[in-house]
Amino acid sequence: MRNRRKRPIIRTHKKLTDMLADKKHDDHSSLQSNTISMDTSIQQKKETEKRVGELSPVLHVVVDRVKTLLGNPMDLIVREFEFELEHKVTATLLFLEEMNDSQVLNEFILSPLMSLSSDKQSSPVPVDHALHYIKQNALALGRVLDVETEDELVEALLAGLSVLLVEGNTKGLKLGTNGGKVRGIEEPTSEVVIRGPKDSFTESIKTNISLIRRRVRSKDIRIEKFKIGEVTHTDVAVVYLENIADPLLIQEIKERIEEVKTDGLLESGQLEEFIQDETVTVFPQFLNTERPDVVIGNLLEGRVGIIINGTPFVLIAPAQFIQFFQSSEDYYMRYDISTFLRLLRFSVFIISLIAPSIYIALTTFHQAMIPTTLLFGIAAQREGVPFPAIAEALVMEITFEILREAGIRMPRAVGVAVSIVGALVLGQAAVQAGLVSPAMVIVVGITAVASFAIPSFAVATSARLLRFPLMLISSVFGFYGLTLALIVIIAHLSSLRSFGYPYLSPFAPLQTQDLKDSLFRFPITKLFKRPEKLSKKNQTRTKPYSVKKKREEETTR
Amino acid sequence: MKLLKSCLPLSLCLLFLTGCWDQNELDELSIVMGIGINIDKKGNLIVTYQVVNPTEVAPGITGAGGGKQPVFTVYETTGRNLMEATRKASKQTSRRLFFAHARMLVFSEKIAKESIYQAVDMISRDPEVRSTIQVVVARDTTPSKLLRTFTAIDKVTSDEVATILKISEKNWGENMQQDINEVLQSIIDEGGEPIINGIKITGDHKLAVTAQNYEVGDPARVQLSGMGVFRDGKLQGWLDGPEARGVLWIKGKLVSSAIAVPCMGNDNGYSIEIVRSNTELSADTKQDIPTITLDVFPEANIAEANCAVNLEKTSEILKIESKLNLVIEKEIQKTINASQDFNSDVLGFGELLYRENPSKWRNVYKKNYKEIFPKLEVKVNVDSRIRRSGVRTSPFLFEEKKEAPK
Amino acid sequence: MKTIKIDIQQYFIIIVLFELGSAILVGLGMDAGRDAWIAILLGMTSGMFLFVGYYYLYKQFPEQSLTQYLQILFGKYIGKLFGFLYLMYFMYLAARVLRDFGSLLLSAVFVQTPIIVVNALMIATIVYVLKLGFEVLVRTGEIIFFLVVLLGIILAVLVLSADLMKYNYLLPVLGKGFLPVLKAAFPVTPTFPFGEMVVFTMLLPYLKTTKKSKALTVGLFAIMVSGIILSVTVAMDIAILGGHVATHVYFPLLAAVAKINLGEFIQRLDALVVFTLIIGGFFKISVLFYVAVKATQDIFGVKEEKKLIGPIGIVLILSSIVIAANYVEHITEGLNIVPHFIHLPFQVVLPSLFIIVFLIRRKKLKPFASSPSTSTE
Repeated sequence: MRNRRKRPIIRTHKKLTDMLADKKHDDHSSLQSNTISMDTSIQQKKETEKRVGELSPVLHVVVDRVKTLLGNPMDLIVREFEFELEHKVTATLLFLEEMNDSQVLNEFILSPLMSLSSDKQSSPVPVDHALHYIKQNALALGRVLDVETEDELVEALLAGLSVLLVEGNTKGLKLGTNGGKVRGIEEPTSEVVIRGPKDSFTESIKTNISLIRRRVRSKDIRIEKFKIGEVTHTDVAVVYLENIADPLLIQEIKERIEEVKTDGLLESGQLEEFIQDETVTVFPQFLNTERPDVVIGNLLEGRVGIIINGTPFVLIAPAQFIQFFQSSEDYYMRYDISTFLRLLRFSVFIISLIAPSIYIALTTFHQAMIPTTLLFGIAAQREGVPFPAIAEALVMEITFEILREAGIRMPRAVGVAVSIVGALVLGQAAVQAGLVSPAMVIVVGITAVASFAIPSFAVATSARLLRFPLMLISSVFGFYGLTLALIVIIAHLSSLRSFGYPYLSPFAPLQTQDLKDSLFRFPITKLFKRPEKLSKKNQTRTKPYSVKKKREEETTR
Repeated sequence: MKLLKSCLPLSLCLLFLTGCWDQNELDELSIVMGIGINIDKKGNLIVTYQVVNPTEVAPGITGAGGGKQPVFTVYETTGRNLMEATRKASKQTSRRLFFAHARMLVFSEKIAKESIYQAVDMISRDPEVRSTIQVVVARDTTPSKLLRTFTAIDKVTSDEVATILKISEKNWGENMQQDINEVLQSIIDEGGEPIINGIKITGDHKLAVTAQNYEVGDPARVQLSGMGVFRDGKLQGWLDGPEARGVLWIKGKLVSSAIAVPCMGNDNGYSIEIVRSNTELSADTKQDIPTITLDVFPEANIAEANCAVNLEKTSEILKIESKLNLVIEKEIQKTINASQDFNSDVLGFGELLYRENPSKWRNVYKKNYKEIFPKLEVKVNVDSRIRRSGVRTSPFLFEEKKEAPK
Repeated sequence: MKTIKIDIQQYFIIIVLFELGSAILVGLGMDAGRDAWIAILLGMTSGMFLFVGYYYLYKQFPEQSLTQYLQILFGKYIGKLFGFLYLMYFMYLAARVLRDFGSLLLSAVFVQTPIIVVNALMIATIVYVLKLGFEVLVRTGEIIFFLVVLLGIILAVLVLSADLMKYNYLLPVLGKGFLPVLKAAFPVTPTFPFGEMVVFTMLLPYLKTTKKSKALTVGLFAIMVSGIILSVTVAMDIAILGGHVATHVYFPLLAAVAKINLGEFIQRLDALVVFTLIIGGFFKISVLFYVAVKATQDIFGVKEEKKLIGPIGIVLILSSIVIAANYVEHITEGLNIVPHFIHLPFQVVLPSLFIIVFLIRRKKLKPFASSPSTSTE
């Protein structure tokens, strides 16, 4: 299975590297070795590429070129100024407004440069060395790099850097002055916990990386950058711990990311679809989270995080099915309640998956299994309902889905109204009008509430989708159909792999050690090992430690 | 993917083409709660079905036109066999009869006297009927009347009877639950015969079958009445009262009961409440006529004491114990004698003999068990223990007597 | 296509599920009356001996499946002929089990549904799973195993708490002497289900190389576990239903569970059991199905096994219906004809023949048997 999957990827990967090699001839150099070189989708740019790559020493020529390349945008600021070295030197600072921190520009670039004067120099600086000189002496800024081509220059501008050009130099400097307004770190909205860190990722990849860095002070943490999107040039970072993660896994992830060729990448969900193993499935093959602690917990287990600029949702791969029922809080609370909650969440998943099907199967095929008194109740309710149970169930479920979708899309104030109309008016009225039986409403209600109790939205969606085929089959074959359909689902799940790692592990294939942290969570002092398959190199996680034993030893001494 | 594509139309077809095989909407079913079987003069079976009207039974349902209809209806058909009768019922009902929840199977005394084998076979063969369905015989009445009787508490007669059986077995011990499976097994047991509960209607029989039965304070009721002893599938006679309780003593099924024990000339001086009991059976198979020993170990409390005795004295308690032993022994002996008179081994002695000595059973006893059984010698030992006497010590009668001479 | 690798615990699980699959459903060794459980234990013991035989053959050819080493043992043509016979045997077994389950469903739940539909649905499921690969089946088996164990425990607790068992029904032990037990035990119980382990001659080569040494002990242990489970189940059936009823219903376990009634709420669990059994049946048919596919592949030299799955599935559906006119015939065949004329030759006679031939031709065959153990010799 795995081999079959991998082969085409490698093949295309080769093509890709060839392509890259070709490109490099044109580009002369690239800023970062592991960056996919930028594809130029703008036609003008291609033309210029053919004619000139290097920067002209004449300032206004370059500025004009940049202006034409970018289409003379309103937010491009061209700040010309002069400073003194041996004699007056003209320089230009180019940047896109609002993508740069103007305070930094003013304080650390313009003001030191403009206050340069020739008398400070110990020896005269020739014009063509001016750039080098100011880089060394005048710019009080951390990130200053050379720019040698027009492409690079434009790219730097678009990335939110500012570019300093000096008359008579064939190079420029790009300055890390990017800033501007981004959303601050807030509490997570989709994964709320009671106990645990309250910060969450933001749209800015830098902030996100810093959130991770701050928590893991290990020299082994690796953050590798990619750019995806021929138009958007979205930054994508792969984060892992080198001493733990499996190098093969990292290689595979990198290869797949490098292969993504698309115009734009706006959210991690898109990348997920590009690089997942199996397309024909309703189950998520990546974990996504907006909580830094979740990412780090997974890094420690040998998984890899993929951060995408522009979205607070970080992908984690490979994902196992069982992870979708775990919450970071499980590790912060006591193990007994965590185990209970995990079991509860899993049962909730099962309920939301099959509750309507069971109702249908019971009432249309296996009436014998319903306790007699309950049967009277259900039969009495069904009396006078004009539809067969399956139609009733489908109508109710679809109504519920409509309500839910409406509730999400509506502005918050209207949303409340929608749910009132839905719950009270529709539910109550439908029962009173004799269109549906109250038991059915209860079943749909349970299903709905259950699907909200699943911590992962992604996996709740799969239950939502699968519910309908299951309802259909159990209306035709009762529990027999349902059983077989569930077997098919289990088989499908066990055929899935996330980056080659079995989706259903540690259950199938069975990994006894890993069972300790699956549906159950053993006391943390018992979780010695990282997942077996994920971290082949460095398995030990915790040293066996027991306060009790220690105390006993002390007393015996 | 290909598979998915090819399966989709197929499954859609399945959805629409198969709707009618075994699927039954609840509103297409008539839930049968009781089945009655009688036989007419020509030898045809008269089968009665008690069908629930769920809207009337279900709690809290104020369905369309609630409160006006009867709780159940009864269909009655005749046929040469059960199946025929069952299917004929469709001439009367708009719905399919659904047997899975049937709780009671009533035989008329008439059919019980002829043979119950045929009916038992059909019922046990049908996958729909539960094996936990209780079997009873309508005594001095017909199944048809019994199933038409309106009962007050559990509104469906069959439900009421099944519940009465359960409660009565636990608290009084003159009847025991006998479901179809147990009846069948007792027929098959080595030398065994079935014993089936009797049930009758008390009070105004005419009133019983009208809904007015609900409205009077003293309605006609259904009541358990003894246990019918069978031989070769035919009803031989009835064990009533203490004789019936003897069966439970012997089978070790007695859970709780009350027994009157004489005291100082008062026949009902004590009322002893049995709280649990254990029975051990053993057999001596050396002779041609085997001897069976029954050891019964009841535990009891004193529930009433209507004579002046000092219950604080251990010797007094011992006295009561020995009296109790005697009473129970008599009861059991009576039961044994009765069943020996019927020559029907409803007590499972044959099975006991087989267990104790399989080869002798097969070679010697089995062939002429009909002759041996009436001659079986049974030793009954009762060793009762009185544990408590309620929350009082001695009865006030005793205190009175103590103080009187002073 | 030797990429499939089965781990040792997976191997254990396959054996147990395979053995229990349909055997737990039909009353096993019921001819022995209340001593059926002894008959099963006897059958289990002799089944273990058979397995040792199969293991011996496997050890000589650790890399080849039965149909492959037959061709080495007898040469291409005779070997293929024998292989073909085994293929037929596997298919027949699969069809039989399929029929068993179809009948179970029909008599218990789907009275009016045509058996072909019920069987076709089962095969469709299996075809889907097998198309995903044998490894997926094995992993599905692991999950199923958890479920079955869980349900088994729940049922056991329910049965115990419902206080249904009357241990008297099990007495006297060996009441009719040892002979009826022996008669019931041989040859039916060793051949079904324990002798069906012959199927594993096709699967043993997939065992992970590092775990091969454990194949025998784990195999025997698995047989023992399933034998004991079967024996306990049958004893439970008898203790609940009584010797007579237990031996005279087609599906004793079903009848036994149907008696559970806890507080008028937990009742009529037989339908639930039916579906637990379906899971077992699904697994057994799948294994037989896959083995048939493998055998066909070896004999006819088909490269892609996935292409065979669909056609063989259709053959199975049809043959499951054709093999017997009604359930009585099916069961009679199963109890009287199949054990003697089909199981015995394929499970005992032919494998012994193979061992004998191997021993005779041992020296000539050595270069073919490319096992690490033989090469080091």
